Amino acid sequence: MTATNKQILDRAVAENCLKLFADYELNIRAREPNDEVEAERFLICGIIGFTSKKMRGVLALATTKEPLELTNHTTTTHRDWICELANQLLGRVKNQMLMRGVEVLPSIPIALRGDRLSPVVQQGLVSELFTAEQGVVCVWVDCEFDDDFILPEDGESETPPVSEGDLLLF
Amino acid sequence: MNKKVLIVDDSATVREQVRAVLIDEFDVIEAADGIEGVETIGRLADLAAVICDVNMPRMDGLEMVETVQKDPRTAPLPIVMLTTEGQHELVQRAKAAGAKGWIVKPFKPELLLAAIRKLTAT
Repeated sequence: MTATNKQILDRAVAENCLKLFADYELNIRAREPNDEVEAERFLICGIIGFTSKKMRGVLALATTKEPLELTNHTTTTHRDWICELANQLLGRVKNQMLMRGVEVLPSIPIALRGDRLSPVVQQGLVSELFTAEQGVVCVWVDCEFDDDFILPEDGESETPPVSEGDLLLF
Repeated sequence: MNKKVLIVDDSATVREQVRAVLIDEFDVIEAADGIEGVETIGRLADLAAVICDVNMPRMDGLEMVETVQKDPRTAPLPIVMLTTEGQHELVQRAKAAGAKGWIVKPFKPELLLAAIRKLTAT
């Protein structure tokens, strides 16, 4: 069965979330069905909108406080850092979409604080939960696609984007 | 006296991360968006280099580079883009506007430091 646009996007977000936290030296893993499940007290949520010709939506990254503290060694606020993490996560997803020939334009990220932040459970809005050594990370995407739009196959773009961590000097 | 490097990024965390990498060798000055960046560059004639994000409120980094390059007094200032963006069209636009480098976040501290050393070497 061919993956739907939403499934492709969800997978890209989940894979890149793992890589993003690994780059900040925090190993997270997808929650197993047998893991103890309880309503997590997500501290804060970074939200970043995006648009493209045929799709538009928002990416939300919520965490408990521990993953933020373990990945941010500066004195700045959780609010600022979750925004930057959401920004970097969408940047990675954007690069994957570019490989499919789809240009995604990001907005400026914002932070939302709340108690027990979580996505509304409804058809097509799936969150991905990750467990860290300490704390939990949750990411979800709420995206609309035009009815006639099918995400092109990976490899549509001939020029791969510059990778994370790379430096180009002109 | 250390050379001055300006970091322009709307994330205070990124500014602090960059400061931590450069602080032993450079005086680090901060601006939170492109407009503040342009104002700071206009005010400080002795800046040695600028590190600049792309996606920022009010004025983005590419517009900032283009603005700085239009002014003959500030055009020679080396600017390195530090961004989540990896799109070649944006890289080419930055290069055409006069930027001297492009780094995709998360950055490797040693690479950033090496790039700034190289661009500020006299």
